[in-house]
Amino acid sequence: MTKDKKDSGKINTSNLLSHNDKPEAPCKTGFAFRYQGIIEKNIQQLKILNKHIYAASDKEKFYTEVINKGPNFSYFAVFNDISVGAVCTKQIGGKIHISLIHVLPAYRKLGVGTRLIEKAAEIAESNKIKVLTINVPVSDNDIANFITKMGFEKEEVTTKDQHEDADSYVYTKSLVPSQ
Amino acid sequence: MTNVREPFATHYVQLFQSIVKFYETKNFKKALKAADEILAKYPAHSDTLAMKGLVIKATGKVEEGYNLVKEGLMNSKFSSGICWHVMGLMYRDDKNHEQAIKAYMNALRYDTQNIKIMNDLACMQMHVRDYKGLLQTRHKVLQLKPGMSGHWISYAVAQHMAGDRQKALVTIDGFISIGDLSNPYELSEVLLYKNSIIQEIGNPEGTLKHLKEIENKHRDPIYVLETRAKCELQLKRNQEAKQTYQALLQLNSENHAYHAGYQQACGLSNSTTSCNDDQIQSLLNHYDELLVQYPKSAVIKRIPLNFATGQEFKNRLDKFVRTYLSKTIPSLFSAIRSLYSDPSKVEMIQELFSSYESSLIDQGQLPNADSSQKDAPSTLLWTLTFMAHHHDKLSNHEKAMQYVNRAIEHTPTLIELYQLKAKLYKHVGAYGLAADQAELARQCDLADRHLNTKSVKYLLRADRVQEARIVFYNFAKDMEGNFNAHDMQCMWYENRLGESHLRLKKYGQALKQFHNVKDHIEEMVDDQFDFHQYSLRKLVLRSYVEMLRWEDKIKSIHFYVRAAKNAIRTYLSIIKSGDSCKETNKTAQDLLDLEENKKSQKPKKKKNEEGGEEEVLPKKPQDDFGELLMNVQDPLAQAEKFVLDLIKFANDDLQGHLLAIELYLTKRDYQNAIRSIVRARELDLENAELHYWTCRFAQEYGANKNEKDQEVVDPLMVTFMNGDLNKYNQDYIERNGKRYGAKVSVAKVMHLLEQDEQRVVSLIKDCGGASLEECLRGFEFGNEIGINLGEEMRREYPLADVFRV
Repeated sequence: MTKDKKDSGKINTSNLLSHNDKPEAPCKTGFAFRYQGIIEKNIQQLKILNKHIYAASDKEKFYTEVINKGPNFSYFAVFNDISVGAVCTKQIGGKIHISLIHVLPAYRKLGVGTRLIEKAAEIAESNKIKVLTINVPVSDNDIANFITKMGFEKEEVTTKDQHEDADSYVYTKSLVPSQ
Repeated sequence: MTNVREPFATHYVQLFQSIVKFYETKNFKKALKAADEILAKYPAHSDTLAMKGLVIKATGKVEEGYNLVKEGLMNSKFSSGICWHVMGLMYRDDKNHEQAIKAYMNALRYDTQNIKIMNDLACMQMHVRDYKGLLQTRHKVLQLKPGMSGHWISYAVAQHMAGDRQKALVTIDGFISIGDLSNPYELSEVLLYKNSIIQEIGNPEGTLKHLKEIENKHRDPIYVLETRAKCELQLKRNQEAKQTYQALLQLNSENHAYHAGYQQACGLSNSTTSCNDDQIQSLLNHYDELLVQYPKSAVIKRIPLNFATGQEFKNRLDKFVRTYLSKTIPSLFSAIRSLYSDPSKVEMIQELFSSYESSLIDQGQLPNADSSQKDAPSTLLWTLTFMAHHHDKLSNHEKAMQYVNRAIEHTPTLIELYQLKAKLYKHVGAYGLAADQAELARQCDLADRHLNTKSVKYLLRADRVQEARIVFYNFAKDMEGNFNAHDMQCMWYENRLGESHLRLKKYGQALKQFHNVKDHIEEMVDDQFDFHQYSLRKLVLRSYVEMLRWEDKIKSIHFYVRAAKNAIRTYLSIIKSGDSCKETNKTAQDLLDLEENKKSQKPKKKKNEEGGEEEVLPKKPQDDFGELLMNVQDPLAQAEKFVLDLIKFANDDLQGHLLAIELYLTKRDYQNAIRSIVRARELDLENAELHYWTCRFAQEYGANKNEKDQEVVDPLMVTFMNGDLNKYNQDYIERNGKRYGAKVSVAKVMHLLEQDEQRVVSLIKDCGGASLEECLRGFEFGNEIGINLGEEMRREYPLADVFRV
């Protein structure tokens, strides 16, 4: 999949009704994709998405944090006008950390995940940061494969993920200045 | 002027005129000062007293104002034109049009040439539809000043509304000959207005001729095309009509009225049953041609589905649906829904979508797909959603629920699914669960007003009133100033709130809401008062006449019809419940809620001219729980007003007539009851509820008739019943035995006639396959005679709240 030209990082309004970015050119016919900033008014959709991954109880703290960070740090992936995935980021030190990235099972293998990573890279760029990090649970091979394909490198440091009480690896990706 | 007035020095004349000027520019303080100055010298001067009264009323002291004017009137021995005029103005501001008219008529007696008074009077006469008075007034104005062209038009409109259409045409011609016709848009309006009158008279040839005459002068080409098309159809000039409709379709290919006209012009009637195969084929050919011309038209793609049958239908349907699925358009079911009246089409729809479903699941694409490319997951999603809608329409409640749950598992973030689930729960009577789903949907997007409204509706249906109120006012936080449902004339909310109160036996509170709706309707008509003057000045004549006609039928709008029916039900319940309704009207919780709600509402503030703020006191006495309405002396008379409205404005509504029958029986007014029965029979002959009320009528009438009634009722009754009630009942069950609703009615009648109790019970227990409404009726009747049908009902509708108590 080719990398499309990105906007200059200007993201306007937190109004739910307006698109945050211009709709991306569809990669195939009938596959309309765009991003939608996550704000207080639509956070419930994020909770519903998360029910799939985290069988554990919702951590309210996480959602409050997402709302506080605002629509410039967390996005839904909207596919044909339905939210099918999300990416939530926050800045830790000099790095952008992806605290959540998820796509509904029925909509995988369509390039949605890739788009979400691209978005995270965009966020990093607009904050003049060159490193992305993400925690992947030790047991989860699917995500590990996906992340590696995206150009992340594993660092052996294990750390407790904030969502699950299992150990996880930290993956980092340094961003080369884009053309 | 009259000689009762005292001689006036020039200084005071100027002062008096200054009062008028200050009043008109709203400088009330200065106006008062000037008035007081005059009164210091001439304390009994009637005109000044009247003006002072007017000014005082404008500052809020209503009673004082009226008193001053009355004083002025008395001082002038009731013969001062100005005093009467002021009186009229005050009544008009208070929307008391009848009194205002009387005052104005009096003013004219003493000030016979005052055109301003006459114009005001004419506006009011039009408002109350006093056509006779209106014609007189406008005629007088025209006679006094025939040089002003506006007077001719006003007279013409008066004649038109009063029904003298020919004379109106003559008057308009008079206007055209002398009037100022420099403004092309005004001229165009007048000419087209004239044309509309010719059309109303029923003269299509004349209309067409006139349209040709004014070809270069009119500025409304769409109206002209539409009128031409209608007239050509009436004259059966089908070729010309076809061309005109094609021109119209070019302007707007989605207008169903144009399509209906086009079909008629092609020689085909609109209803599918009266078309033979040849006609259908030619119609389909016509539409295929149209599609080539307008390839993006949704309507042109949809209309052939109404006519096509068999395999042709299936092919076209397939093509139609695939577009919707691949573009994931949510309104697919709404687009197809009107086809469900034809069972053969329903079967084909089911086959088609089942094939989609299996193909998508097995191969990941729709059947007979062109490429090997897999469809987006959303295609399967919307197919499942459609199936859920489909089964819901066919009342296969379990299957519908299965489909919706599968869809939710596939894509839990599609908000429409939760709304659909709420609807499914509603259809099986599980109103609490439905409200929960609606709330879930709303949470997904708190900025969406549609979801908010739906949630409020579902909460009210589940009788969760305080919750509904909080959700409703969510959108008010962002609005400036005071916002409440009443000021916003939010009739959908008031109707449903009232219905909830009615279910909970809070009759006073319910009545309050329904009367609110009635008030809003009357407000709407009153609010248009200024248009009487404005429209004539600006010569917006066709729209003005349309507005007047809309006002005449305003009580037929569905908000009012719903409120009227509910009000009648409430009054009847009050009568049945006697004194106990006073206790059930408000609960302790209601009182607490009221306190809380009052705190959250900010009091209204009104700025007066000094820039300070003062509170505006509510005009009507506060009646928070509708107790005044509930304790009214004669509830039957109140209810009858609503019944008369329904009969007049909603004559095609069966429920309205059934309520009328019930009311008139309670009132023992058999003549009106039989009239409603006759009308209801025209609407739906075999209706179960109607059967019950007819039998009850026959029984009560038989016991209580008198001679006067016999003259009116007997000739009507004999057309359907020969006096043997039992036989009538048995015949009915033979004709309609399969429907549970019919069984319930027959059982009720047998119970009335005190017949075989066992048969009654066995009839109402046999509720397999019944609809939810029928089950509710049966359950209610069971409770009346002491039989608990909970078990049988739960077999049919296990989730329904009402059967689980």
